[in-house]
Amino acid sequence: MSYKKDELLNQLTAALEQIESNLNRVYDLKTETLDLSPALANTEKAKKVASPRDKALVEEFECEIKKFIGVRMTTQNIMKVKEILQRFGSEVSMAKVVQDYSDDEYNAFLKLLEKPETKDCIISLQEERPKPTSREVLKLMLSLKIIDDKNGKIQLTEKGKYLAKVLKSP
Amino acid sequence: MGVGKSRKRYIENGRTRPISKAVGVEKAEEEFRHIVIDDENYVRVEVRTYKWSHDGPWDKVDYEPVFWFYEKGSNRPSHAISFSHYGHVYHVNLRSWNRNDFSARFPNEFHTPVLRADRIEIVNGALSRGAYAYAVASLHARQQRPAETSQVQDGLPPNSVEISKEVRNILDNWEGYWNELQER
Repeated sequence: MSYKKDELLNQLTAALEQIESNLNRVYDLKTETLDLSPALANTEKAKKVASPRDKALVEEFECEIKKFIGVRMTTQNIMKVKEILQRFGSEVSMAKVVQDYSDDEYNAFLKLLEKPETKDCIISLQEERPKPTSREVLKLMLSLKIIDDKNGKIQLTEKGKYLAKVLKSP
Repeated sequence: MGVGKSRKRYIENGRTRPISKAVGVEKAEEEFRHIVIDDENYVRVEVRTYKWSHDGPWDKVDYEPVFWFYEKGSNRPSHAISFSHYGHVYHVNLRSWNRNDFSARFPNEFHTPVLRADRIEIVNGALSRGAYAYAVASLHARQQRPAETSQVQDGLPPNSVEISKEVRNILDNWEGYWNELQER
């Protein structure tokens, strides 16, 4: 892909963090409405480097989140925003995991997601209580750089941490 | 694979009957079916377009076409091309064509054809690749319940719909796409 994947995903991550921090201000009763302009500035920048289809996904997110401009953040509205953040955040996190995969690696990754033990294994590693996992799955996760082996101890890589975040609440 | 000489027949089967399909937990409002048959080579392309109403970015009804490609003499599709919001997704060597494989991405709004295939290729999108992987992860984490739904209609979705342009393009060049899928 010729466009700037890193910049796209970094701008979107920044937008998500902006909204998250705004939500925290609502929690702390410092404000009753969300200030979405910094986040929307980030999504604007993201759209400039996005492919047409990625741009459509970003616009879809913007459309959802813009419904909360100037709206009083009731508990119900907070839940709705959290849900949008969770969904779109998961897509961005997954994109961070797969962004440098070749087509073959991407396909192997999709197959890994289909294996029932994958989720358990990754979440248990995140909680530092590893569960027994088949050699085949561990080998695949090693080759996909989801885990690494440091002095005989298996741990999640940065990719693995992003994946754990997604799999915890799909 | 003959090109040019083959006589293409456009069959509009005109049936209007309820169909059984599962698309996450949502119901498509309608299904448009358009079949192209190459008489000479007996390759069948079936376009099924699912209509959803939502208030997404286009603020209008959403049409999501899936192209099903049937090999000679087979009544099971071998490849598929879908669009929805991920760009072109090539599903090569389908392992399953069950509609249960569809995943509701945004409940009540967006839907994702996530078909089980030996190989997936997503054209044009880093974020799209992530979104598709998330849809796969969600699909396997969720119990999909089949939904009885919708009417089958003949023909293609209205031309005013943006996606129709892409449908037309693939229909006009379907033999090229078929060859491309065979090579992948």
